[in-house]
Amino acid sequence: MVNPYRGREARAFWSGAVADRHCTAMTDLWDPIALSRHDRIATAGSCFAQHIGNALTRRGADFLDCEPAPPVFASGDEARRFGYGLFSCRYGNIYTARQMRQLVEEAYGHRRPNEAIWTRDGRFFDALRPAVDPAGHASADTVARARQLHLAAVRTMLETMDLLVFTLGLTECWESLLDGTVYPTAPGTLAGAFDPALHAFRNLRHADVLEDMEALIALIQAVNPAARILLTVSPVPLVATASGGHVLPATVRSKSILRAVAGELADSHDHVAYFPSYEIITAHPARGMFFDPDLRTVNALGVEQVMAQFFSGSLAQAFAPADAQAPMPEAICDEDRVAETL
Amino acid sequence: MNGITSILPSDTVAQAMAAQMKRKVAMLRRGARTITLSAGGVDLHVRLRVAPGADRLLVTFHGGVDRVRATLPVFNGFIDDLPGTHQLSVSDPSLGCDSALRLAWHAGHDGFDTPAVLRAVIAATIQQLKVERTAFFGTSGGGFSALVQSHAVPGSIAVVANPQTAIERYHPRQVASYRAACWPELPPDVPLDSVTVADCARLYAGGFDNTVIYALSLGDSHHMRHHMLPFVAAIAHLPAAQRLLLHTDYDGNAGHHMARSQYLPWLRAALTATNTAPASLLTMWHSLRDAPLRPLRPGRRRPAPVSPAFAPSDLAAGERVAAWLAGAAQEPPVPSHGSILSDPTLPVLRKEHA
Repeated sequence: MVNPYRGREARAFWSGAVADRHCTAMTDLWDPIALSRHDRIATAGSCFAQHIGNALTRRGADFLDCEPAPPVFASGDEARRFGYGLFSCRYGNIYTARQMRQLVEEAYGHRRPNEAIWTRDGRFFDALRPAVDPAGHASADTVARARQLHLAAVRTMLETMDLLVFTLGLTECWESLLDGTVYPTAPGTLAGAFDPALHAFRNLRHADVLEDMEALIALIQAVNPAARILLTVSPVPLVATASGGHVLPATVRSKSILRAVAGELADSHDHVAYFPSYEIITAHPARGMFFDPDLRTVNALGVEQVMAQFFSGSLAQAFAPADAQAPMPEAICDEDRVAETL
Repeated sequence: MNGITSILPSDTVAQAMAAQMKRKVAMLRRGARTITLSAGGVDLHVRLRVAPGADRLLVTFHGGVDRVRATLPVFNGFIDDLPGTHQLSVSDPSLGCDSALRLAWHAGHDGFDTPAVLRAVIAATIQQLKVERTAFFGTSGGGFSALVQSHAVPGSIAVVANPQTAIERYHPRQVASYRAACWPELPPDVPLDSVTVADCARLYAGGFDNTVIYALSLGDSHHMRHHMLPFVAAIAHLPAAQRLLLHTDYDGNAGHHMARSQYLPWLRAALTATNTAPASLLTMWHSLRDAPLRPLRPGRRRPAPVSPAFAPSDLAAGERVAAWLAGAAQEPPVPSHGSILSDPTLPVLRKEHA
């Protein structure tokens, strides 16, 4: 009788790979992709993607910044507060696959959002990235001008990157009933006003996310056939759910869908890979130790552990931690502000 | 030249070091590195931090050095939180002339024309990094060096704090040490200005195309009387004097002292103002100050109304972003033809989302 598990690697067996090890001592959690310091790396996605971008930069990777801060800020922290330097472009957090797909479609003229500008207290905000200008702008024209520059930066990024690290964050989103545009935050939180005749809650299903991601991958391939994609799933739970249920099962449902889609895409596309940062942080071998007491915020130890696993194997030598003493900036997660504005 | 070995035929040395600098800058895409340039038997050490995408350059010069504690080369530290700015810190090679020499003003020594070499090296750096605005910074003796080098770069800005403006108006012991170590054959009655740039008042009195932000602590009476006043008097008759921004203050400390918080907003303003015109620099400096001044008579001047929903600092920074956007290069419009939009093989959103 042939046992198909016989001869498998040690990491295939729970007892040796997990049960008999401390969670920080687990190895071979992924097969590192081929990457060199010369590869131009872009990042996008939910706030957890900022940690990956920061770590790559500290390790000497060629991190693409296609929308650098203009020389008008008093400090780097202020520039970050205005959305510069967080990701490869100033798009803020992109929580859903649909948001990313729509951004790329807009950048190449596929779509023009019907409701693209929100107001609040007499100021104007980009509805598709309302957090990047904390006080908005004095005119809608300025917002539109900034968006044109932003879209040009997105095109530059897509066409020049060698690798896109995209972190899937949420399935729950708010969309415009006019044209299906999804927003990173609900209308009426950071800016805008919620109107049930114009806006609706949508919880993207597995088929939706898969379709959005397949479309996104095709769009990227069309403009940059050599680009590769590395997917991760954010381990940060939902700050709140609009589904009507409890936030815990809502979180697990959302993350499970994203994790499943990421795995399927990595299986079906040679140029797409998956890195298990989600599992490292959230799976029960960690016993929650990688979260702050709120059980939502990933702590520094968790980020460090994720990065240690990321830079393993061939990547350990290629990206030696030359500047590891530099402090990592805090990730900026504007979804936290949902609770602030209740 | 009073029997002194000429330092002027240093074109070859300057060009050689500039060429080395260009090559080394070209190899540094990001991060910081100490660079040693060698020519004419002298090593010039600089530290360069390259910020990807930056179009501003800050050049800093150190002042007096405690030779008991510090070992050569010495550099000013880089200033954090200056977005969009490369930084170049210069160590004074003349300190190597004597192990006890504390200050040499980057003014060179017999056989080595540091000012000329630095002009060439900085010009090469500006060219290689495609810098659009350069600021020079230094305090005390480093302020003297910043004034000299900024003068050579039209359109640049010197930000100096309690600087010396003439070497020979500084404390006699320090001047004597410099002369003995670096110009040992120069007779005492022959001024330093005959062998190197030693008097910024005289240099600037001949005209200048840069802008000077001159910060002085009123507790530093020596630098006010012997350096600021002669400098101001020397340029007062020039139309260019409108490009002198003179800031005096007193933080409670008498003597040669100025807190970083006094000059850092000026430095940031120099690098982030919309342009280098004094009005623009003043506007930016004012917006960067921690707390705006109150009106002299409360109630007589009302501050501009602001929305209570937003932090004043966010509103101010937003206005600066808007001003920058207004001047940003026009980007090509979003393509609508010949792009992937016209590729029927590509997926598009379902109708209800498209």
